[in-house]
Amino acid sequence: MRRALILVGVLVALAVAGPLLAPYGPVTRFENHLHAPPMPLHVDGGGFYTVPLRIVDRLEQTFAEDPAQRAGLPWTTPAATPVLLLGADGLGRDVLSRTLHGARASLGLALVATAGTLLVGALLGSWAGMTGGLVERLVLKAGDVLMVLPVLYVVVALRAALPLVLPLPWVVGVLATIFVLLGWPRIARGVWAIVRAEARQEHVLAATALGATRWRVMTRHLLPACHGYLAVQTALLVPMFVLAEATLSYVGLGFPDGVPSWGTALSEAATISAMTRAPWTLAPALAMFLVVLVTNVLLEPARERHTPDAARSG
Amino acid sequence: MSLARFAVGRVVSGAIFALVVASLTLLLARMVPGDPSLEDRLTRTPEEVAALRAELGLDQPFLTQYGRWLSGLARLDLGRSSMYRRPVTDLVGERAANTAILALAALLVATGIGLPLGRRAGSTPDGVSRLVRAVSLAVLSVPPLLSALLLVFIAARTGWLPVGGMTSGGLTGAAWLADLLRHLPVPTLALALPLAATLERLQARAMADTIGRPFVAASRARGLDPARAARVHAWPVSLAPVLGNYGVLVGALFSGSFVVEIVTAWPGLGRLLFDALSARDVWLVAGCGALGAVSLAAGTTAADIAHAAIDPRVLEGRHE
Repeated sequence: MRRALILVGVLVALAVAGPLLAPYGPVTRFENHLHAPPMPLHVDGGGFYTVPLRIVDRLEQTFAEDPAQRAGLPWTTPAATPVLLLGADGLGRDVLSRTLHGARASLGLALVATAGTLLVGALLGSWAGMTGGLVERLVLKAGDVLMVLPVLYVVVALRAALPLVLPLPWVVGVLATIFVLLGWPRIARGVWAIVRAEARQEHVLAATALGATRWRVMTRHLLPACHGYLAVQTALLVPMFVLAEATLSYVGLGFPDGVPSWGTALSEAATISAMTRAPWTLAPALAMFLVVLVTNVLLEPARERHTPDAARSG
Repeated sequence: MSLARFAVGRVVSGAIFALVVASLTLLLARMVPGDPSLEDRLTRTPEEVAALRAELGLDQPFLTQYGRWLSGLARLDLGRSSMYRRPVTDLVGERAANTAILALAALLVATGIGLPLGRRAGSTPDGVSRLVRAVSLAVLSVPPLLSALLLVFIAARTGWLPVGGMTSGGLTGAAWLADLLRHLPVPTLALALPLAATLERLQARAMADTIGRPFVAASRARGLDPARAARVHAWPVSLAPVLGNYGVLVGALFSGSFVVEIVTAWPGLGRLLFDALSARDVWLVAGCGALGAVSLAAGTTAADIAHAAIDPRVLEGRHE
């Protein structure tokens, strides 16, 4: 659980600080460095340095190192001699900077959607677990139906049903709402199982006997039992939503082109010609892979404990 | 509860599910702002627009449209696509077959890779199983979008395999089949690898759980070689919970194939739905939704029934 919280903390920090760490702006263009390859980092007594690239053939987009020159790290070098640690994309924009700027949109949306999913899932799950009867059956059944649906089809269909061009805050709102709509059943089912078991405990009966309201019983006595589960689920939901954003933006239904996000960057990089000519523009894919990988590696033991899947009840 | 009663119950609820989802798709398609008659609006007279709307049945109230569509559904007539100018039934049938080829191939590959590796990784905790587990976690972190991009990239760089499409066109018979088989590996692997990793993890966990149970210890106590005890006694038992998850995996397979179809230009149902949504092709969207819902319901229902047939405890509701 602590691992999950630290992981989420790091992702939040990345969403906040990512753009601040970027050496260049998301739309800063270096006209002489279209599709420039990554510049390797060298090290000697004086610290890290790079060798600037000079364009050789504008049409073929070939570059040569200029051994007479030396530049420091991109954060310290004046922007006149661009230092492109991860290369440049087809418009001459620094891939590293765009990936860092994209972290805010991608992770930010995923975090907002995760928060919403946890809220809705926890409320519905605990409501179902406390109330029982018809409410319980309805919530669980609705959740089951939603969980069987292929997520991407539904997301794409819902998004396509809404006006395509929206102001940015609306885009975030619409996407987050769709993600919440599809994500809550997982959380609700887990919380429901915990709450149902917890509600039989004596401290809950005691609180009820003392006249605590249902809301108080739920927030003070039942939901605290779920926090380990919720922490792990938080860490699992964020990468899922990052990927959902990437897929939506890839097919043109996510963020608009002007907003730097991992998905929009990927949709620009993922043409066969761009990909084979400048594979470094796929850096956002690597960023996503790392987010998912770190989550999987850190949370695999916790997931095995917390997933009430059929594989464990056999 | 008998298996037959369980199966009938599952089929009925599957049919209801399919009907509800299909109806919701139609509702969604009708809620979409704009319709096919908006296309070329500048060059069409108002009379032509009205005629087109009438031809597509879009001038009727929603309930009339829904009634007509339902009665058409019973006759397997889902209307006409405004984009392709063809009957929707033919179109979705063709494309669904393409998706089925891809999905079945991926499911076979994933099962063929995932289950044996999971069995191995779950039986003895040694170097090999740690390696399998590590690879599995890495592959799990490459969801279909990324795996498809990666494989397309490799195919494009090396030129070993075609990067997209399903056939090169203009071929028949054996040449067509050979061509299809050349186009199949990239999308199939893109879809199958994450699925194989999921299955491997499920199988490994189920296997580890089963091996710890008394009947396996008993078989070893009778002098059975541990490897044989794991393979012959523990594995079949551990398969049941894995099969129980196939129903959920069908949904993941659909989602994954949508992305893979878009990235690798595989002419399947997902691509068709996406194109239909973009073109506001109402009846095509509804048709894709209907067929998708039916296949999904059929897949999950079949998986549930198979699970119940293998593991009778499901019938007693002890698994739920």
